[in-house]
Amino acid sequence: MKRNHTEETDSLERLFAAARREQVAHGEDFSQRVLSRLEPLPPSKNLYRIPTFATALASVLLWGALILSGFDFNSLSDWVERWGSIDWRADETTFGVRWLPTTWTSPDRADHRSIIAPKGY
Amino acid sequence: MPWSICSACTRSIVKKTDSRYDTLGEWWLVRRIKRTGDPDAFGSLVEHYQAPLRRYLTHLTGGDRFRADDLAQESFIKAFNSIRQFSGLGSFRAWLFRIAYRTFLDSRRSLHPTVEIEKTDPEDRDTTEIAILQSALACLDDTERNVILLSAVEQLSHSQIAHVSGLPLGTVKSAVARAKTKLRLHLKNEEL
Repeated sequence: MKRNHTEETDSLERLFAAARREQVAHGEDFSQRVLSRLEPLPPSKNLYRIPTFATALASVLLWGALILSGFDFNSLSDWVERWGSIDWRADETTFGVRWLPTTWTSPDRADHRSIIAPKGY
Repeated sequence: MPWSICSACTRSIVKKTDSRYDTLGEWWLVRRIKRTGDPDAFGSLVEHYQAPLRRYLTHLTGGDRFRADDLAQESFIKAFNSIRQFSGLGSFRAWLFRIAYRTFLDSRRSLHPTVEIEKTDPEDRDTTEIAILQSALACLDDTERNVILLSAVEQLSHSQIAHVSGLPLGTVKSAVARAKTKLRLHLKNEEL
């Protein structure tokens, strides 16, 4: 509505409107000429597909090898039990949050002295 | 997304849906060209964009339809060859017009480095109003002519014009305003 009103009153807008209405002859032969000059594109180089496929294949092979070799998956639960009992706290002394045990106990030591985890680890 | 159905029927579908252009279909079409280099799919884009691009280049070249057609053809071929560089996130129309503008500037530098656009005689033109506009556009420099055509005739947004011309957004806005002022002044002087 506003544009129509402007076009009626403003000679410049009237010229622009005429240019917008201008019909360019539909060039069927123009399109044909463009298409005839196109050369085939080289095959797409989607290089990311190769590492993705390789990773997937490697993980499948790893699982297969573990199963075939008779790996005891129950041993993993022992591992979780052992490490799950440790008092984990957020290390807020450095940038970012890291979950680390505040004290480390060496089972080899007779006196069971605590070893303080160094900063940054 | 009618364009993604099959490459053979894309052309007929584009003709049918030409009045209401399917942007999502265009996205699929561009994706297909990027992956397979399908010339039929690109033909659909040529069919759709050839009229506005040729019109834009005709105005840009001061009404030289033959030169505009050559530039449009060259622009489409460049677009096809570099379509994998198009991210697909922005407007394909703006990207195509950017290529056309660069092609125009290159041809102007290489072929006609010193030739200025001549004022056309309204008597030789089919439409008087368009001839008057062409004559008025000749008083602008390349940048102003480009931004005013993209803004007022092709109706691209200011951010799209900034992408096409490679200018900052603020410069585009001021160039559009300056071009309009110059054109109004030119028309006023012509009337006197």
